[in-house]
Amino acid sequence: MHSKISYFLSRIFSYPEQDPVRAGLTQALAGLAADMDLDAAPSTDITWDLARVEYTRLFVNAVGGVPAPPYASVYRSGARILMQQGLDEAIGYYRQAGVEPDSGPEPADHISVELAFVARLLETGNRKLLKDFLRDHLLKWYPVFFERLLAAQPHPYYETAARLTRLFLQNLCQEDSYEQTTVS
Amino acid sequence: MNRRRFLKLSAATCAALASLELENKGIFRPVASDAATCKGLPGSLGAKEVTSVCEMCFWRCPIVAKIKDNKLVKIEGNPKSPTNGHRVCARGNSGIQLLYDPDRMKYPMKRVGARGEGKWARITWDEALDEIAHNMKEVKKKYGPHALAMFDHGASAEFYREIFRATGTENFSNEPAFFQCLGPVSMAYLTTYGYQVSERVDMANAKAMLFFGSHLGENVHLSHVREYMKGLLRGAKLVVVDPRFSAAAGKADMWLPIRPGTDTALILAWINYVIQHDLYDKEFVHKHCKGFEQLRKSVRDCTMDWAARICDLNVDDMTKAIKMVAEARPRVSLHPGRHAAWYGKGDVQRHRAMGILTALFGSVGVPGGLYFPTPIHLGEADCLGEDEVDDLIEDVKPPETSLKDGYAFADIFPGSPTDAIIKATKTGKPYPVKLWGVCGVNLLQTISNPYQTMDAIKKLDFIFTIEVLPTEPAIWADIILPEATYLERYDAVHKKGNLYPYVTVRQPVVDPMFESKPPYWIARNLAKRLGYNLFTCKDEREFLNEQLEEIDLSLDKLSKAGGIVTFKANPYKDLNKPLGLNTDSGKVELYAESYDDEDLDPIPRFEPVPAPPKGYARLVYGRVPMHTFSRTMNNLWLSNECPEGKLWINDEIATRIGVKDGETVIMENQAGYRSNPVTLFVTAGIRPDTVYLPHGFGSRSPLLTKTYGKGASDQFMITNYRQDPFMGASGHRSNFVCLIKDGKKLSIPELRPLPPEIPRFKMRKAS
Ligand code: SF4
Repeated sequence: MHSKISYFLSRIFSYPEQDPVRAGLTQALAGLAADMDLDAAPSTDITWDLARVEYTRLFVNAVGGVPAPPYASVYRSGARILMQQGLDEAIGYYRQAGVEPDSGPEPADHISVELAFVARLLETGNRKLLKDFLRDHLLKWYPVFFERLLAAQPHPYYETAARLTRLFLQNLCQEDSYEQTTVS
Repeated sequence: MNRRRFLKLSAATCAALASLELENKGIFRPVASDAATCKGLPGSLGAKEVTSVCEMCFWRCPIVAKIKDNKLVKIEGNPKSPTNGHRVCARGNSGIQLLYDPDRMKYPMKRVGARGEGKWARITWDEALDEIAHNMKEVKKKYGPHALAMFDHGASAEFYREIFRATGTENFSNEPAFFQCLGPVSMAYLTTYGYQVSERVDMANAKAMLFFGSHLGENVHLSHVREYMKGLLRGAKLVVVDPRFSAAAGKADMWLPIRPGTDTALILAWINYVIQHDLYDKEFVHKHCKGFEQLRKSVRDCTMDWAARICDLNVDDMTKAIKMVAEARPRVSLHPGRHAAWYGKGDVQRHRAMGILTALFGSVGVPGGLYFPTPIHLGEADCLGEDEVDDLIEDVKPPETSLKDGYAFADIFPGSPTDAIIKATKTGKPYPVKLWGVCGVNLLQTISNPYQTMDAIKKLDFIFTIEVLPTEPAIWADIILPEATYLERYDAVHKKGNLYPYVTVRQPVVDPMFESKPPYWIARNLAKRLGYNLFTCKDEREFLNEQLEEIDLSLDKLSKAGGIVTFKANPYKDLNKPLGLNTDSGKVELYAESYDDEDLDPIPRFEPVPAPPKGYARLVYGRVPMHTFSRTMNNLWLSNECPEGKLWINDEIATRIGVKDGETVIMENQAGYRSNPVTLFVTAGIRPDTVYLPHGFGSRSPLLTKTYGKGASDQFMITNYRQDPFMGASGHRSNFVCLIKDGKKLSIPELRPLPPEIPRFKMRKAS
C-alpha cells in the first residue's frame, strides 16, 4: 500500500490531465488525510479548471516567478537553476536501482518523478537505497520546496498533498516505521 | 503524529487508492547500456563538443557547446571561427543560464484572467495552435488580411513571418529592430552606396576612425569590437562625437561633447571644410561620385563658426579633429552607426551626411574604409514555400490606405512602421488591426510610448506571443507558445560575408526542454492548420542540406570540418574601374535625385530638433556590455554582474541641485510619467543638458524573478517621438526628464545657453 500512496502523490504533483474529482483523486486525498490525522482544510471543491490554473501558477510559470519550482536542482545548489547537482544526484540513485525515467518533457528531478521512484523502491523492497535516497537527497530539498509552496498559499488540494507528502516521506525515512500496513 | 496511525489506512481509503489509475507507475525502465558518464573529470573535461551559433545577441558568433551527461556545461567560441576564435563575450558564456532558467516558458499557455493580469493555464500544443489558427482565420474573415500584424525579431522569426505573409497582410514583418533602430542608417547608405553597408567598415586597417554617438565596446559585437581594438593598437587615431564620455570616447584622441541633435550641422561644416581646404580625395570624387558640384554649393554656408555655435563646440577642436581624420584618408573608418532612430526627423539625413563625408575621403572599397560584402550563394529550399506564398497572395488587394502611406520609401522594406500599426490598432484608422503575433521582441521595452502600446493591445481581438522567457508582452497575451532556446534548435544557415566569410549552422546542442518546440515545428504545424502548404520538408536537416548543397556542403560535411567552412574575402575594389554600385547612377550618390522627386532634401540640410524645456535635461540611452537590450536581464550571471543601469548626470548640475553620486532618485518626463527609482552616477563625462541611462532595465514583467523592478526603464520615459519621413522609423531621443528626490521635484538648470536657431520643446501641460 505504501507504494500506492507514493504513486498517488506522484500523480497529484504532475499536471492535472484529468478532472481530479472525477478521477477519484480528491476522494483518495481526503481519505488519506483523515487516516493520517492530518488537520487539513477540505480540498474536494477543486474543479479541473482551477486545478490547471493553480498547478500552472505554483509550478509552471507565474507572475512573481514560480513560487515553488518542483525540481531538486533549484534547491540543491547555489545556482538555483535547472539541470544541476540535484538532477545528477537523482539520476545517480535511479542508476543504482538500474533504472532511468522515460524521457518525458520534465527533467528527471521533478518531484513527481522522484515520488514515483520512491514508489518503485517500495515496490521492489529496496529499503537500503530508499533510505539513502530519502535521507541524502529527497528530504534534503523537499522541506525547502514545501515551505516555498505553502508561502504561496496554494489551494487546499495542493496544500494537503504537500503536507501529506511531507508526513509520508518523513515516516518512511525512519526505519522502524517499516511495518506491514494494517487495514482496519 | 502517531506512527502507527500513519500506517493504518481505512478500508475506504484503500479502496479509493486501489481504484486509481496510476499511470506514473510505468515511467521507469531499465537503464540503457550506453548511459555514458564522464564522472570524475572536473568541469568540462571529457565533455562532448557540439558546434553551433550564439544568439545571446544578434552578432551570432560561432560557438562550441560542451555537453556532459546530456547537459550543457560550458560554452566557448568555435576555435575554427575566423572572427571570434575560441572567444565568447560575457553574454555568450551565460547562455547556459538561459537554457536552465527556471523562469523560462515550458508549456503552451492560455490566458484565463483579464488581459495583463497574468493568470494562465497550461494547455496542449494542439489546443494552442488550434486557437491561434482559429483566431487568425476569424479576424481575416471579419476584417480582411491587413487586420493581422506580426512583430518579430531574431533568427527564429523567419518562418512565422512567412506564415503572416501568406495571409496577405501588408503588416507581416514589423521589426522594432528596424523601425526603432537600424532603419534610418540602412536607408541612408542604400541611397548613397546602393547596399546595406551596416557595419562593414574596416577598422582594423584604418589610420583614423570617426564615430558619432557610438556604443562600441559598450555594445559588444565581439569580432567587430576586436577589429576596432586592432585598429587602435595599430595606431589609428580616433575622434568621438558624443554628448557623453562613452567607452569609445575613453579611447579617443579627441572627444567632442556635442549638443545632442546637432550632429548634422557639424558634419556639414566638416564637409564644407574639407572641400574648401582641399582635404578630399579629388580622384575618387571625380571618378566615382555623382553630385559633387551640388554638394559644394549646398554646404558652402555651413561654416565652422556656425556649427560651433549650434553644436556648442569650439572651432579649434573641430578643426583639429577633422584635420586629424582627413590626413589619414583614404584609410578612414567613419562608422555608419547602428542604432540610428534618434529624432525621427533628420535621422536619415544625418547618416547621409556621414556617408557623403566618407566618400569625400575616398574611404570606399579600400583597406581601412567601407568595404563590400562577399556574397555566398546558398541554394533555395523549395519546401520552405516562398513561391507558394507568392502565389497565395497574388490576388490580395492592397488596403485602400496603406500603413506605409506618407512614407516615401517604406515600400522597399518589408512590413509597416510599428508606429502606424499601433495607432491603427488603437484607433481603427485607416483600417482596423485586430490580431497581433509577437515573436522574440519585447514590444513594451522597445517601442516608443509603451503606454500607447498597452492601450492598443487592449483593443485587440487576439494576441499571441512566441517566447523563450515570459517578458512583458507575455502578460498581455491570450496564448503564449514556448519556443526552444537557440541551444535547442536549428535555424537557417548562417553565412557571414564580411572580411572573413564563412558558413556555419546553428544546431541543437541538447534536446528542447519541457514542451518547448523549435520554430520550424511550430510554424509547420500552424501553417497546416491555416491550410497553407508551407514547410513541407520533414525537418530542418532536410532544408538545411538543400541550401548547403549549392555550395557543395552538407550538415555532415560541415560537421566534419569543425562546424564551419571559410571562404576567400573580396572586400576591396579596383578603383580604376567603375564601382558599379546598385544606386540610380551606379556611382556614390552625393546628390540623391530620388529624394528630390519626393520633396525630400537631395543633399542633407541641418534641421534643428527642439532643445530641453526649462528645468529638464534630454534623456539619452545606451548599452552595457553584459546585456542585450532587455533580453538578458533575467540571466542570473549577467544580472549579478550588472543588475541595473545607473543614470549619468553632470557633476556641476548635481552640485547645483544637491544630489550625490550613488543616491536614488526618480525621473519624471515632460508628460508627467515617472520612472522606477534609479541610482545616480555623477560624472564630468556628460553634458549638463543631458542625462544618460543604459537601456533595457526596469522590467515590468513580474514573471522575470531576477530582474523584475530592478533599475529604471528608459523606454517607459520615452513617450514623445516623431516619425522619419523616409520609412517611418520613430526617433526616441526627444524626451526630457527632471528628477525627484524625497518627493521634491528638482529642476535641471541650464548651463549652456541655446543659440536662436534651436527652438525649445514646448510642454503641453504645465507642471
Ligand atoms: S557578441 Fe557575445 S552574445 Fe553576441 S553572438 Fe558573440 S558571443 Fe554571443
